[in-house]
Amino acid sequence: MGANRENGLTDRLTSGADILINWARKYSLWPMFFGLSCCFVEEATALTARYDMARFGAEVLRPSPRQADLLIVSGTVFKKIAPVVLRLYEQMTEPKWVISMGSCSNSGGMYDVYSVVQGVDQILPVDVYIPGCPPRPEAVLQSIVLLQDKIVAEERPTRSIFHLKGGSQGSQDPILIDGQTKARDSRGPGMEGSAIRGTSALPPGFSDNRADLMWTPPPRRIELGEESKSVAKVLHELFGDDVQQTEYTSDMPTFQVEGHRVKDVLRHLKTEATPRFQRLEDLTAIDESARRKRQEYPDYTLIYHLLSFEPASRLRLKVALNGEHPVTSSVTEIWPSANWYEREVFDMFGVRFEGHPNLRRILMPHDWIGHPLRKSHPGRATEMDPYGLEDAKKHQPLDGGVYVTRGGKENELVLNMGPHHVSTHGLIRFIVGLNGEEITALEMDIGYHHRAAEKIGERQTWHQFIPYTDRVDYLAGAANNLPYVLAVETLADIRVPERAQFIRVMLSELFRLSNHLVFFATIAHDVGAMTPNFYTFREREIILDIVENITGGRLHPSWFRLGGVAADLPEGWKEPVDDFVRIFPDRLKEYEALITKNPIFKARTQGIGRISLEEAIDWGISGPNLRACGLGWDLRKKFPYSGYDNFDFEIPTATEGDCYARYLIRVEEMRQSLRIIEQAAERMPSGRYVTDDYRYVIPERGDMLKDIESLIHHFVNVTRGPKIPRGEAYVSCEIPRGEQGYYVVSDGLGYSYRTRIRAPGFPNVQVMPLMAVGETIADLIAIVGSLDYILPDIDR
Amino acid sequence: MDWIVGFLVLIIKLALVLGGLLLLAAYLVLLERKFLGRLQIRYGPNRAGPFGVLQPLADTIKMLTKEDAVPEAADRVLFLLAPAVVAAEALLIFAVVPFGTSVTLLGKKIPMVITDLNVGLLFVFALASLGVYGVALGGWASNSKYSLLGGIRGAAQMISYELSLGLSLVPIVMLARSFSLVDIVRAQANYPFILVQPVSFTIFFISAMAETKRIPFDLPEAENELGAGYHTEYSGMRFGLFFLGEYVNLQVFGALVAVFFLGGWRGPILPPVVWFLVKILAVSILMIWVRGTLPRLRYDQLMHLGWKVLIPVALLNIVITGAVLLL
Repeated sequence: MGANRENGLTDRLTSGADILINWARKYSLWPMFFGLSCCFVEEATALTARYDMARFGAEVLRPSPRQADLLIVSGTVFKKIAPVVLRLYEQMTEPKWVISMGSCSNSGGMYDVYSVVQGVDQILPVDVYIPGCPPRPEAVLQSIVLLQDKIVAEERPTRSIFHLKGGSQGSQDPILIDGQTKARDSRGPGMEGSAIRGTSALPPGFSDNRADLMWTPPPRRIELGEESKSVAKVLHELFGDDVQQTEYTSDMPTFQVEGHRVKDVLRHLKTEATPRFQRLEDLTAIDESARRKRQEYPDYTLIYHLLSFEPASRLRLKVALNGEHPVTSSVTEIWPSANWYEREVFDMFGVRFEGHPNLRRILMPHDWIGHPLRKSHPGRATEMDPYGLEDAKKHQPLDGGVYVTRGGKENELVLNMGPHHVSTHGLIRFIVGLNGEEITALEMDIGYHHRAAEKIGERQTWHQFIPYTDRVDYLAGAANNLPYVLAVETLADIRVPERAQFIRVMLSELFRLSNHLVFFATIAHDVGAMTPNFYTFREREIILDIVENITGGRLHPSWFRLGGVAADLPEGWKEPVDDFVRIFPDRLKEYEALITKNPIFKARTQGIGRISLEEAIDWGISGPNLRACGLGWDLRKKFPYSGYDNFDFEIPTATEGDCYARYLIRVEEMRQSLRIIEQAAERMPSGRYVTDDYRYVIPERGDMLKDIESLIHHFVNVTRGPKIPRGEAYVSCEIPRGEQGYYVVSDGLGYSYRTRIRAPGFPNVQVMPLMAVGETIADLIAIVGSLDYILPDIDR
Repeated sequence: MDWIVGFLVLIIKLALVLGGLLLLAAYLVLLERKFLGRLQIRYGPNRAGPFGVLQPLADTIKMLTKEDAVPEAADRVLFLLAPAVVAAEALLIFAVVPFGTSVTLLGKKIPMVITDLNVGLLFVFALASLGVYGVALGGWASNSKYSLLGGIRGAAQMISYELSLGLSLVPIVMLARSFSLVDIVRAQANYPFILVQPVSFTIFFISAMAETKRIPFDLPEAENELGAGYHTEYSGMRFGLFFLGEYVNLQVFGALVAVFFLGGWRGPILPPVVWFLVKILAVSILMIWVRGTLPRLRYDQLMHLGWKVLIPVALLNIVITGAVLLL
């Protein structure tokens, strides 16, 4: 009796306290300053003016897990980062909640691929899931409200706080086990009976492949100019039969080089040839083992793409390699930038480079087994063993001391920044040797954001791959589509109507603007100014409204198609563009008034992170970062594509090569982009939005509904994918962050044999030790901000 | 009996000041979040209670009921002590700050200050320099590299800026001919000292921002560089105490600026205490505004500003003031 009454009293007291504590907690959910990929951009947008997450008391982003209540897992959970996510979660103090944001975090989403965990709920308990790819900022707000409701409805914290029995607080949901408490099929449960679409047409089976029954014209062939011919002649004179010119090519002069001569040939091309090919544009490989005409190919082919600035031209070298573990010589002596490229080839293909200073894995975790881009390596995560809590506990990243040694000096400190840190702008790890605040050594550990886009290119049809290109540089949206569609169009000789070209240019420039607005916000934030990002995100929202009005999407419109764009411009598209063109110059002036002449900002950026033009060229830096060193090099002018030669705009340059110069270039580029947008909107031609040659493309909707031939093309090109003729093509475009190139290789099937992405971030980041050693730790952050890299573009 | 009444009055005054300070600190946080919101074209917290007025309550309860984690490798005693040092030091300074003239209650004259020390100004500095211990020890005891870097930055920065802070007030003492804060306010009967000592005011204001570790001087906790800086490892209410200390410090320096430069409690029409609060709030809002506007200095630039600009100018100002007073 007495015990009962006592219990009743305790219950009444605790339930009263529960109400109060739950009320307090629901309005004080401080999120961890944490983001994995694209979704974080929308999460951050939810904090800005239009959405204002602060209203719910949830704007106090805590950089330390100890002080955070809420972990919003925004983005793709990679196998390399999962142990870090788990550790951060464990470092958070009770009570703690988890929101899983976006399809990747919920289930792997569109990334059913070897490097991605198929849902964060396999390593952490999750309270609220937000669907979407990426979810809109409103969805983030809704998830906060849902979590608030859940706290009030389900939790009885008082007993937990006083260590009494029966209380509950924080995440209580169970961790799911792949294959047991959760379906392994990426399409959801109940689909086990049917094979994943398209798998039967993939190597090594090809059982359902009907591409050979279809006739297509040969790939595009180009006439080589006088200069290319003279280069070929000189090479032949010097190296004889060790260098063979490929007869036909779709894009640039191509040479087959014997393995033992490749170093000499490259040195000649860089230092003596006319023109001099000063930049190692890209270095990659192809695993030829799944070719349908296997006997015509070696085991592996190494591909070197070179670039000459004066005159603007490109050149491709191919080296045949044979054997299970082929070996070739390293070219790091000729180009320092080859260092990371060769490591990547080693990591992905298992090709060894003799004479390489530091040949070890670069993208994959250090304890990974196998080389993912080999055809024998599984592509899908669902083909591999399930990833669970135990794996996340086991595969912790290597200690910082492995990368940077203190060199025997007593008072030096090794500081680990990342892979998750407020100012790393994504998942990258800087290991810094410090003497006081001065940086004495800097090493980078990348690959935490490796989404395996290149491997996915080998299994999605030519059209299906377009959404993946959007996500390579998630702030550049449609601008990412362009080099990919141009490369396939070059290979298959697809002509694009003028209207479609104008639409592409207009959207690309809108995204350049929106990207540079984010750049403005982040560099200001990196040097400590907290307010500018709220203003630039206001204008960014206007741009995204225009994009949404035209394409229906925000970050990832996936809007360009082979031969044109997905649909025509909607009615009333022009007024918002005109309005924006009218208001933006004044807004930009306001921002500049606050930042450009700010003495503190100048003191923090002028003379910091300086790099000379020679070094920039040697290391393969591109985009605004190269132009800040004094070279007026912009692909839109030098290799005009998609009709850029119809537009009147200038290429801003600066000579200092420091953080401030990089900032000024981008501000000026915003003005120039606005000019292009204005001209494109003003002179938008009429006509078709997709080519009328329906062999490779998805026909216009009206035609598809009315015309049986178009319907057949639509059906074939959507389901099996268009058969692109055997061949290869490389096209590079000036996306906001620099030169992004796609090298596509077709084996005459509905999907590519190899898709290679040459990303601007990879070389831009590789050079960072040159800029940062000798500066202070605060300068490193300013350099990070000024380089404007993005992780999926570095790790792909 | 007199001492009992005196004691009671003291206790009541202490309770009022302490309660008022804590309440004001909590609402300064809300004010900052709301005002920053307005600077950033958004609303700020408005769901907890009408217009979000209960937001500080929600945050306090949340922090009080959150797990209090102590890292295994931390120096336990120092780790637990450091936040209290910061908060206590900031609160203690108010012992010598006068809120108004004396009031007469039941025939007894009660001064509106807890204790009018004749070396009040020195007492302020003695306590302000204790704040360094909280930051430096908190950073050191956490046994985390980020905390350590933050703690070192904090120690160096606060020690450097205390010099210019102190030097900037020498002319004020020369003008008032007293170290007592009450006398300094009395000396401003005709005009506030900001009119005759604008240089002192500027140096003091800049140094005060550095002492309170706010942008552009928030290097010890520069989140872009050091995560959460010296309090990276602190959770729950211990972190809350650092937070509290920061906002009480904001009031401290608001009050000191009011006392030294803005004539303390003096002002027309409104009662003295209200005037004093208005001045504290005005200074606090100015600091929030600065935080919302400026980027952050680098460590060496911060030191450069302190040692090579502020201190020489402050010394020069003393000489000039002395010369003028002699003439």
